[in-house]
Amino acid sequence: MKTNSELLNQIDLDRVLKKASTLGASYTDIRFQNYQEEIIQIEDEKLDNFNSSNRVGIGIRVTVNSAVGFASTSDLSKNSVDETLRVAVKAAKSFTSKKGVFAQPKKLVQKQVFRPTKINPFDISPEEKVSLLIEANKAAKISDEIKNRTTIMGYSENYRFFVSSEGFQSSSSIPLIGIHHLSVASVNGKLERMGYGTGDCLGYDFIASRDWNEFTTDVSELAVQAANAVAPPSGTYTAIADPDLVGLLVHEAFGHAAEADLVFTGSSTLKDRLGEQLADEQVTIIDQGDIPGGYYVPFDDEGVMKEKTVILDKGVLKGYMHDRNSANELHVQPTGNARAQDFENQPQVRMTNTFIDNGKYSFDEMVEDIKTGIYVKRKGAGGGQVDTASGTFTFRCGESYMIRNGELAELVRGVVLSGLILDTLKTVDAVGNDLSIHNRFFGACGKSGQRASVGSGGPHIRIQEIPIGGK
Amino acid sequence: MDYCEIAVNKAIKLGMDEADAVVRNEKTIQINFAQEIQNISTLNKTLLSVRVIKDRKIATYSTTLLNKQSIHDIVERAVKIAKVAPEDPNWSSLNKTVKESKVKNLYDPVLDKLDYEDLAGAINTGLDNVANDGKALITRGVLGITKRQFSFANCYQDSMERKSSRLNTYILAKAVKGGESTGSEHIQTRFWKDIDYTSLTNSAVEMSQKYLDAKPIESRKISVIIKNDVFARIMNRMLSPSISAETVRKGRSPLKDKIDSQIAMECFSLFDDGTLEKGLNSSSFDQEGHPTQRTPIISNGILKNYIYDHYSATIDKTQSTGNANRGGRAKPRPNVSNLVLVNGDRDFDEVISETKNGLFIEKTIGEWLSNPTSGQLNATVTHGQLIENGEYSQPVKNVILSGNFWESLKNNIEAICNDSRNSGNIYSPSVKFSELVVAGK
Repeated sequence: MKTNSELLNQIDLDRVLKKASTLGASYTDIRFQNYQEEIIQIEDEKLDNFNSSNRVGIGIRVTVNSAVGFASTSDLSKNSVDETLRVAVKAAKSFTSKKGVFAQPKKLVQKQVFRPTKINPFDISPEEKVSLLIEANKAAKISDEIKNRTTIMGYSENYRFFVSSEGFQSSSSIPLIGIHHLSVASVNGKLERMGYGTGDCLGYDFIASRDWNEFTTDVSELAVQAANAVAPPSGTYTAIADPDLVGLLVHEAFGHAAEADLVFTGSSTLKDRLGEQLADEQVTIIDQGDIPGGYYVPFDDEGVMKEKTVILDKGVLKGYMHDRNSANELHVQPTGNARAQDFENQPQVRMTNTFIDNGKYSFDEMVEDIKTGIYVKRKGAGGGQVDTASGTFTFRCGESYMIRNGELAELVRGVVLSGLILDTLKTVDAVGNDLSIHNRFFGACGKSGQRASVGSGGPHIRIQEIPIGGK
Repeated sequence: MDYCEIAVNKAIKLGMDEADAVVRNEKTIQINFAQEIQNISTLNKTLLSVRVIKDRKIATYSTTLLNKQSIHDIVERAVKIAKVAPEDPNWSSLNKTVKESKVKNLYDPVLDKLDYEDLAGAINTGLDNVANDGKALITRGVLGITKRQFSFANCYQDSMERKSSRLNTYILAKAVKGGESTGSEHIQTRFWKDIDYTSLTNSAVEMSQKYLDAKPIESRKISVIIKNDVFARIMNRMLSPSISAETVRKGRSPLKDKIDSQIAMECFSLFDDGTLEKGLNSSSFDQEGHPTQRTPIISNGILKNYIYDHYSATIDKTQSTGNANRGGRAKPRPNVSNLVLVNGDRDFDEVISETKNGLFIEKTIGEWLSNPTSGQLNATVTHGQLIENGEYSQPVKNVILSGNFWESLKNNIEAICNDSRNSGNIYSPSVKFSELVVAGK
C-alpha cells in the first residue's frame, strides 16, 4: 500500500494549484485525506463483524469571482484530479455569490501535528482485541434477564493534509479509539435497552488501562433496573444534569445556534444578540480545540489555528464560532471552526469541544434545596437535536433519578428533555465545580448531512424549569 | 474484469472458501443555498467492499484505493484477519440465489443533460419568488443529486450491475416579522421533474406564517393527528429495526414470537417492497445479489413476516426476502427497502373537521430518540395546531409528545387518511390516535 507522501507526490499538489490559477480560480485549497478504521463487533460472545476500511481522496475548493466551487474524488490518477479541478472551477463559474470572500485570520497554519500513539491499535493482533471484547461481553451477562449484548471497539487514524494558493500548508494525524456497549434486558415481559460508549484521541493504551468488564457490567445492571422502572409523569421539572449530559445540552441547546454560518443566514435564534445577558453570571461557555478528554482539533480545514473561543462570558453573548467566510460577513476574525467530515465534503462551521466552564457549587449543594426534581445523566442517553431557527432543542437522557426532598430517589426510565434555548439558559441557576470533558468513538455530531467528532462537557448544572416527556 | 471479480478471484486464489464483493460508485452534486446560492459541490467516489470466508471465519475490508495492486493488498489483509478470527457457528454459505427482479423507473436520464446553470436557475426561481413576496427569508436550503452505480459479484456469480438516481431537497424559511417562526418543505425522489422550487418555497413560507403566534399548551392527554411524513419518520424509528429478522433473533425486538398475532388495529396494513416503481430504495437485486420482492409485514393488524437477508434466513430455515443491506460496510444485514403503510379511506380535511379537541402535529424534532425496544415514543413538536370543534384554534410549539407506540398501534388508532407521502424510503398517510400525552407548560 502506498504511503501518504507517495500518494501526495503522485497527485503533485503544486501543479494542481498552478493549473487552478490558469483556469481562472482566484483562490484554491486542496485537502487530501487518508482515513483508516477498524471496527470489531461482538454479540453474545461471538464475533459478529471485523471490518477494516480505508478511504483516501482529495477535495479541491476554488473561488471564481467570489463564488465557491468544490469537487472531490477518490480516484487519484492525473486525469481524474484534473477533471475534479475542472469541475470545481466550472461549478464556481456557474453562479454569483459572496461566499468566497474570506476574512484573514491572525495567522494561517504552517505546521505538522502528529499525535503518536503509545501503542498503535492496528499493530495489536486481531486475536487479542477480539478476546478482550469477548471477555467484556461475557461479563455483561449478569443474569438471565439480559437477552442481548453487543460490545463494539473502533479505532481510527485520520491523516489530513491542507494546502492553499495563499501558500499555507498543514497536516495532522489524529488517532481515535473507543468502546461502546449495549445491553438489552427483559424483566416481567418489559424490554429495555441501555447503551453507553466512551473514547479518546489515544492508542490502544486507552483500552489497556481500563476495566472493560466493569464497564459492560454497569451497563447491564442499568438495563435491568431501567426495565423495572416506570417513566415519570410528563410535565415541567427542576433538573440537575451530570457533566457528560451537560455536554449534550450545551452542544444541542446552545452550541449549534452559535455557529456563525447559521447566524448570518438568519437560521439562529442567537442572531443580533451580541452583548446581551442571556444567562446567569455563573454561565460561561467555551469552544476549545485542545483540551484533555476532548477531540483534538489543532487547526481547522481552512488552515486556521483553533484557539480558545469564549462564546458566552458570564452569561453575556460575546461571539460566535466562525469559518473564514462567516467571519468576513460579521467583520471578526475566524475562530478555527471550519470543519469538514472528510475529503468528500466542504468545511462548514462546526464545534470542536464545547463546554460550560466551572462554577462554584458542589453537587450536594445543588440537590439539597430541590423538593421535587429529576437528576439526569448521560449513560444510556440517546443523543439530541435542535431547530436553531425557532430555538427548540430536545434530547433523550440516560440513567435518571427522581429527586425528593433534597435527596436522590428512585430510578426512572425514558426521560426526554425539551426546551427553548433562550428560556432554558435563563433558568440555569447553579453551576457546579466538577468540570469534565467527554469524547466518544461511536456517536458523532451531524450537521447538514456531515458528521464530525466533537467533545463536550461541563460541571453538574441545575436548571430551574424544563419540560420533560415521560409517560 | 471488474473490481468485484478481481477481489473475489484473489480471495479464492489465497485459499478462501468463499468471497463476495460490491463496488459502489457515487456521483453527487450538492448545492447549498440560503437567500442566494452559497456553493456547489460535486463528488465522485468509488468504494470497494470485500468479504472473505475460511472455515466459517469471516473478515471484511473496504477501500477507495482502486487499482489491481491495492485490491490485492486489501484482500490479503482481510484474508490474514479471517484466518485468526473466531469462527461463526451459524455460517452456512454465501447467497446462491442470484437473480434480478423487474423494477421500473429508478433512474432519471434527464439528469445526464442538466448543467449547473440549469440547477442554479431552478433554485433561483424559488428564491426570487420568496424575495418578491417579502414575508419570509430562506435561511437554509440544499439540493442533492446522486447517481449511483452498484455492482456485485461472489464466488458463485459473475459481476452484475444496477444504477439509480436520487434527488433530495430541503428548504427552511423563517418569518421576517411577528415572531421566531419557521416553515420547511422537503422532497426525496428519483426524478428531477418532481422538484418545483416555486411550489416548494411557497409551501415553506406559508408554513412559517401559520406559526407566528405558536406557544406551548398545558400538559394533557389529547387526541393527535400526526402528519404523513412525520408518522413515516416515527415508523422508521420504531418499526424498521423491529421487523428485521436479525433484531428479532437477537432478542432486541418486541415483535419476537408475534408472527400471526394481532399487533395493531385492523385498519393497519404494512408491507416492505423492494420492487416499488420509483421507490426510493427499490432495486432489482439486494446487496448480496438476491432478487428483491414485496413482503407483507402487517396485514389487517396481524404480523405476517420479518425481513431477511440470506444469513438470517438460513438460521431461521426460511428464504431471504431480498433485504440484504451493507450500509457503508462490507457485512450485509436485513434492512427495510421501501416500507409502505397502506392508505386508509379518510380524507385528511374530514378527519380534522370531525375532531372536537385535538392536536395536529405538522413537524417534530427528536422523534428518532424514541425507543423501539420499550416502545416509548417521544417527539418534540416544533409545529402543531390545536384543534377545537373541527377548526385550528392555536398554533403550538415546544411540547413533547409521549406514549407507548406498540400500545397505541393496538388500541388507539382512530383514523388512517388517504394522503400517503414519503419521507425517504418510508411511505405513510397521516394517522389519528385517540389519546397520547403532550407535555407542555
